[in-house]
Amino acid sequence: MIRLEHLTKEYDMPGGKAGTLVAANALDLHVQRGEVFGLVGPNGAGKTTTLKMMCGLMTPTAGRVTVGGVDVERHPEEAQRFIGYLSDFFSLYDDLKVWEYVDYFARAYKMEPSAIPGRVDEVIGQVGLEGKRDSFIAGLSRGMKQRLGIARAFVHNPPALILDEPASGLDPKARHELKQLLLQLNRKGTTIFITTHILSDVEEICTSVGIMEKGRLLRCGPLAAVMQESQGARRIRVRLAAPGFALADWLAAQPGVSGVKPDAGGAGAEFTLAGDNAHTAELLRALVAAGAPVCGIQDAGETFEQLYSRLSSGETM
Amino acid sequence: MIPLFSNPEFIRNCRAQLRPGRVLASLAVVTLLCLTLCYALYSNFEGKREWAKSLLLTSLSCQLLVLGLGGGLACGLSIYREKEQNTFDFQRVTRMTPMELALGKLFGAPVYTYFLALCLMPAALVGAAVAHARASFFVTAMVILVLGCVVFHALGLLLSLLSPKGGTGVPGALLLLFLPALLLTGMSENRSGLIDAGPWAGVVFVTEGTWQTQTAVDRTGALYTLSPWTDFIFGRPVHHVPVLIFLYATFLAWILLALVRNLKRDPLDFELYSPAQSVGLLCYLNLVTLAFYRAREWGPQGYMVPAQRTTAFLLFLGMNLALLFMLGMSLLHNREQSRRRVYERGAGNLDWREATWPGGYVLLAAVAVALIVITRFELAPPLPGTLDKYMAAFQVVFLVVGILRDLYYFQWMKLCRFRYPLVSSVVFLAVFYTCSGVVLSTLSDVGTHKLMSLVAAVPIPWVVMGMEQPSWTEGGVLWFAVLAAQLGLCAVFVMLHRRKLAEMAPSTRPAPAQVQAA
Repeated sequence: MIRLEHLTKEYDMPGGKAGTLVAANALDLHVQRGEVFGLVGPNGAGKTTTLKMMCGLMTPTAGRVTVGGVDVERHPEEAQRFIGYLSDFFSLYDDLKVWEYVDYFARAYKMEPSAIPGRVDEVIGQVGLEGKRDSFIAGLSRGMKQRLGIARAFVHNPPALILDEPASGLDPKARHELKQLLLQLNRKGTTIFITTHILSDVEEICTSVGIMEKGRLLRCGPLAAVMQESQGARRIRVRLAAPGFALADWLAAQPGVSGVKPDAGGAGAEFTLAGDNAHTAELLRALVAAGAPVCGIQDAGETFEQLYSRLSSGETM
Repeated sequence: MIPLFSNPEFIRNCRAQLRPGRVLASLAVVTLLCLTLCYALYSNFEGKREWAKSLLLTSLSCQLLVLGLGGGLACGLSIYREKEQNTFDFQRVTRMTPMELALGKLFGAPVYTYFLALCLMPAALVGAAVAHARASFFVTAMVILVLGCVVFHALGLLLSLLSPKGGTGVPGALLLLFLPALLLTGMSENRSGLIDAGPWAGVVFVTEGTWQTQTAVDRTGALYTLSPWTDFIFGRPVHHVPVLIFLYATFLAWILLALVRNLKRDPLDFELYSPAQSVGLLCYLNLVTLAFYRAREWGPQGYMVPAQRTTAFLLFLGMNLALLFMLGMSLLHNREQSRRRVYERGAGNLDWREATWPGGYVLLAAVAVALIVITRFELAPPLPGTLDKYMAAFQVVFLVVGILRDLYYFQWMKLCRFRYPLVSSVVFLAVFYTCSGVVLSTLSDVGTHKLMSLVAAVPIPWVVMGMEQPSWTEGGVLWFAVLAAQLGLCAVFVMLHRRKLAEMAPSTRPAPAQVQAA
């Protein structure tokens, strides 16, 4: 759906300083139809620049972006049919009413005129602004404006939504509703490309992730694959129904097991196991066969947040 | 193409600016002002017809001011304000074509001023009816007035688009443009034959207009006009109204072209016109000037006589040098544009076309313009006086090379890492010319006149404009040495430009991390 080919954006260092700043360094990426792709990275990593090039707002220094097979730079109006975009900092037309604002963009995206009134009401309902339909935008709260911005982005039913920090400024309830809305749109087949600083959201809604730093993608791919690839081995925690079994000693004697850390009281232990899921299953079977009263097992691996903290140096350009 | 009344940008502006409360309040205020005006004029004029004529002129003038000034400011602020509020990017990512967006803004941004002008219309109609103004004059006046204002609105939009985020000079710049344009009206330029260029012509036409073209023959046998409503195009009398409408329409088309070309572009990639369009604009401006040029000048006897060949030559040379310079300046690449071209070609593949940018197009434009001007004067009756063709050709070549030298300098400086590279380069060049001029003037007593004009032509090529026949004859081959020096300076700036381009080539940065597609 979205393909970046050797996408590069190079700027001069600000303030006339020597050197250049590479906001996107030969990025190659393919986001499949129906995915929710999360792009994370520290401020100044080049995420917003990448998004702007994807929408045709910025001309790349080199490389190209295609959305739905259409080159964004060469056929911008055709490509916009496939894109709904929300930037991180934006304003709305304060002198319009909520429905007028949505109606304006429905027309600007050249929707069928007869379908516009119904679609406007539907979208306003989806973002929970029915009660404010005839209110002036100037009177809306920040969270409501954010929701209206999102409504604008998907009013024309775009196959791809490109959202830059859509949850910033939203309260926890509104954030939850936004996630539900995005998942709902994704279930209907919308591809979503999102940047965010809220890493728990990435784990919750994204099917694929990219970790970006200093214009480069450090890791990229399906979330589970990125997690596994980055960790190499699994950290597992086993709990016993009662102490008595020499769990730590038994584990230490098994091949592929390392870093055994028994619980105080001897009713459990945490250890690292090299290998895949089949290897884990085999180890557990052997443990039960050895007479251990196993009552619980859990993956004690890194969260995405921990992984991100480990991989990212946090350096900006 | 979306029709105007379905254009989303036009509808948005109508909705935002024409809320019922605002419309009613404006209507009430304008009605009150009109009634007061009627009363004030009625008490000052004795005849009913005089009163009506005065009412008509005042109403039309108010409409012109409201539409021209108010609408111009509204357009001048529209895109600029959207950029400030971060709403413009959302328009750029819609499916509206640049033309649709431009038309929506052109007629949408000043929609409130159109409404105010409409509110004034009853007063103008009453005045026209009582003063027995001809309907055709009234309609023509409105067409000139509205079309003239639309040109200003388009210019305002273009300035608004080009003004950088955070810049605050747009309204001021517009006012400065608007006022001289209004003042142009009524100025009689005997040489051109174009009498009233501003939209005020419409206001005057409604009371003093005529559909006749009126000409007479002067004592030298040439035609001249007896009426401000007669123009001469290539020596033939044509009514002023179609000329004015043609000029407005064509200028509007050129402004719209620039607007449409850049409206949805990345601001770092703005380019007013493509090189071919720029050459076209230059040719168009020359054709228009040639069309109105009557080759007349004031003779010593106090009446107009045919212009001397040298006068015509220097006039078109000066005008075209200025236009060529502007064309070259508009084509200069900034660092972003140069970097993109360098990346496209890859490191180590810099070609000379890029290094000599925009020289090729400036030369092409110079040749095209020279052909147009020479053809026109060859077809027209010969002018009196003599013109040394070799000297004239040398002057043209030398001055074009002089312009190229400055353009290459600007192109090189534009790629240097200054905060405001273009402003810095203009300041440096101005300082260079001033210092050179001062130094050379103090040395004028040292050498001969011939030697001094030769020396002066190296730093200040413009002195060649005033070159006289003796200086050309005495200088001989030395003039070509000075031309070679100019070309040498061009080569220096081309090399410096090329070096800057080489610095921009993709560096040997480590390859980015290999990532697999999701």
